[in-house]
Amino acid sequence: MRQLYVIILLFISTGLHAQQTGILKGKIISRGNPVPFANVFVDGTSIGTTATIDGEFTLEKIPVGKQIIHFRLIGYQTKKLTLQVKPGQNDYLEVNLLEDNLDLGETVVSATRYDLDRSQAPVVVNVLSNKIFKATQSISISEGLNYQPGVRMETNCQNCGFTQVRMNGLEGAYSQILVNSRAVFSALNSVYGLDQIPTNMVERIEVVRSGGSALFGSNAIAGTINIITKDPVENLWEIGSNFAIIGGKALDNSVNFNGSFVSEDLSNGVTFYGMTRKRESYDHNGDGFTELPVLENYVIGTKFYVKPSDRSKLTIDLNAVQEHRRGGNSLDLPPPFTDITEQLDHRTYIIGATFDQFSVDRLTKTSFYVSSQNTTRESYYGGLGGGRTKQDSTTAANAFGNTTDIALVAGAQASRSLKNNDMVVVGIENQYSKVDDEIKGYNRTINQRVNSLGLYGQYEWKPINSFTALLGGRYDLVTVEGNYTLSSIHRKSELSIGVFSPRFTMLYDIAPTLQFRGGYARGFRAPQAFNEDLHVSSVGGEPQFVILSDDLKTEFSNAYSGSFNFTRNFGDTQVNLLLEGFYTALENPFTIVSAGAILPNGSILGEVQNGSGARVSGGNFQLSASPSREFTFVASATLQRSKYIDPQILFSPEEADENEHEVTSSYFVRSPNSYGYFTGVWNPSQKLGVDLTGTYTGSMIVPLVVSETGFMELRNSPAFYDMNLKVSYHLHLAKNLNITFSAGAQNIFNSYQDDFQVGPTRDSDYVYGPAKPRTFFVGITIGNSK
Amino acid sequence: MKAIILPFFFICVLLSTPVDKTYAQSSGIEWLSFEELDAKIDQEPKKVLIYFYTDWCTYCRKMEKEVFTNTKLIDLINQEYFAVKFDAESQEEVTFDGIIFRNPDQKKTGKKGIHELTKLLASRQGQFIPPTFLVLDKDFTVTSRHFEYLHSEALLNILAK
Repeated sequence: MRQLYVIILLFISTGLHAQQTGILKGKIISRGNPVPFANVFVDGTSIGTTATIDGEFTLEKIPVGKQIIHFRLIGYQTKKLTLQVKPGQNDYLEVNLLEDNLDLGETVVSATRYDLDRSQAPVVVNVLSNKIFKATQSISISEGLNYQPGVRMETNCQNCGFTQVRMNGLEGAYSQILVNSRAVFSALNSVYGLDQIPTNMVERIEVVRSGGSALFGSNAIAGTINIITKDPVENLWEIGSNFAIIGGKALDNSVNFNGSFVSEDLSNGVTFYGMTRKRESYDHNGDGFTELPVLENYVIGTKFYVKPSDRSKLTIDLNAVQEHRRGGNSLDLPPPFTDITEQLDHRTYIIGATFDQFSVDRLTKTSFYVSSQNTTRESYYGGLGGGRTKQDSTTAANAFGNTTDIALVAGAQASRSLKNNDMVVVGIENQYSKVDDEIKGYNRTINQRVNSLGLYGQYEWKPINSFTALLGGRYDLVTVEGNYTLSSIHRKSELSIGVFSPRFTMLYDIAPTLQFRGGYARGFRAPQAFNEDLHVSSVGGEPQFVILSDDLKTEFSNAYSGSFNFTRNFGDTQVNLLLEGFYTALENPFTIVSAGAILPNGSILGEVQNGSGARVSGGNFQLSASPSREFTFVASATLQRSKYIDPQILFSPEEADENEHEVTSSYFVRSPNSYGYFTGVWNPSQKLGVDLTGTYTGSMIVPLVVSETGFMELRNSPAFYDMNLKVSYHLHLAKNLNITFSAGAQNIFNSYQDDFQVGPTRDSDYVYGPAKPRTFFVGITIGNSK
Repeated sequence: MKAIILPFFFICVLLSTPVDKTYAQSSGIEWLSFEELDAKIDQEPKKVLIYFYTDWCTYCRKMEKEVFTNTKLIDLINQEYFAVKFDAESQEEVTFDGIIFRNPDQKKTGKKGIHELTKLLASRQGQFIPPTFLVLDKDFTVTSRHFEYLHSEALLNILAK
């Protein structure tokens, strides 16, 4: 045998004389020179020492028998020696450590598959890769987010197509959406923003349910959705186009491109992407009013980095989004001449810079970052509403509005790996947001400034190999200054509070195939206008507004979660099973209570109040199986209950009568007790791919306004199966030139809501079920990637 | 919008074309399998470079497209080294030095599993992260291991030692 084994494994065993314990002395060297300060310890005992500056060490009282001695020092490969210790042994050893040539910075130096890292994270991080977006032919990320346990996308408005993401049943404002880990997604962005992010700019989306890490904001009560944009490595380019027909009527076309260029030594690189999309409006029931609005998107963006030295990196992000959407009726007429129009023109710019610096020993990483988001929105929420009086015309002519929205995030973070493999992170972050929204015709204004200064710290404790805990806390100082006017109503939110939110999560490897994770997180939301409060829907031919009530108290949450992760191979089939339980208690949850049509023009007013406490509990189940290289299958189901402690008032009329009484619900509306998804990927050959994906949405309570006064009825929606099938064919045209054709259908079984409200007085919020009816698509992608 | 997309498209195409690379007369590095190495090294002792890659590793693709096409590097390797390229997740049985190495487990990296040879030679603290390089001297002793992307200059420095 060649010396291969000797070098790699290097087992040494020696032995000598009397007594119950032994002594081991020695010297640690590398390339002939002494190595100072290495850790030397006996496996499974508390016996250990640190070598001297000359590399000398002495280990005393080593129990007799077979012992494994570890030699560990950052920058060197850990060495384990197996020793047969005999009583009274007193040995001298020369230990040769091999240098570790891996760059510990690991920012861009090596490729890892995320599941390798994930298996060691104390928090369940689910990764939504670009593959799912491709399998579901998603153009924007809002179309593919369903494919994560406990995550559900819903559409909230027939007129404007407002979507939000629900995690573990909690509505959109309970989740924090991050772009490259930065909280630049403001309240306004969360109304339409998920439709504005094209999937081709996304490397992956990391979903953390429940409040896991102290590093992100405390308003991540339901969880965080972290959109990671592409980090360039290779020189790649790709252009693509998608053509679809929604429900046999409406065309949906998009063109996209992305490319990257990175120098051979990785010292600088750039990636850029763009997308343009035009989706026609879709009217399902032929009443002349849209179910899906017209959508026109233009997105371009780039991410650039340069490494001034091999220990520092500067990254710059630029994104620009332009979007036009319009729904309602008579889309060819100017909005004031229609019965209902919701028209929004957005311009959003997101700019960010991050500077990372590693210390000389590469154990400390310091980052400084600043990000800004600036959106202007021209809106039209209104119309004649079926009436043709002079008053109707005047109101309709004045329903134009303007919104400006600015978010600024700046922070610094330092992390240090300690000698014992523990890690400590501290940081400071300031988030500022300013939104000004005005619709003159309704005398509606929102002027809100929120500043949040956060200080956080987190300690990753790894006392033994099979156990990791994250102990952290975050202190937020939040200042809210909000003025809200609607007609003659004025409301204020003015507060300044400091809140401490502790976080704790742990990972325990019970067996090589079985892991347990558990965690507790406290979170809060300070009273302010969130996504829905910036949206105006229409009911009974009049706009429906939401305003904050006076004296809103801060909402608090306590969230507990625990999960088991089981991985095993059955023959050739690799199986992974995740069973997760969650329990979230909400105190003073912000709840919209309809006061009925009390505004002078007959509009319905919804008031955000502190509702009854609520308990959200349930379980997520996810099964992944891969019987062979050609086939991968994932299925997930969520069973949950979202219950108010006391029945929550949803409609509270000024004067109740027998027919129109108070409406209460014991359970959350729009939150099904069961939902789930599955994905099946089949690659019978390198060239051919077949993807079958689908979601299931169980029955849920959906409020429907049934009277001009705003009186609502709580209906139970039916269950839906939304299935997609895609076939793709990959052709290699020439060196570095590939082309992929794809075709298929979304919502194959045309499982779609059949009781949409009709006409100018419809309740446009009465929407549930799949986002669109059966849609056929064909797509083509050309690029140099494999 | 066309006005924006077209220029971007051309930029993409321009950027993706190699600018400063001249290809060697030979078609590139003469990669060997472990079996071929086994046969050759007995006849003619030479230094050895072993390169572990996987098909999903982006840095490996970049190495192959941009680093292993460097003329200086091709010449140096072909003259002074036996170069072995090995798919770390290979499903093949490899007989090397009279021992059979297999890929029995399919656990860690999903469907394919890590080959025994990879585990033996290219893992660090039980983990394999591609790309990984081993440099061995003429008597087949490991002189260094590298667990990262190496640009041409870095690799030249290592191999010229």
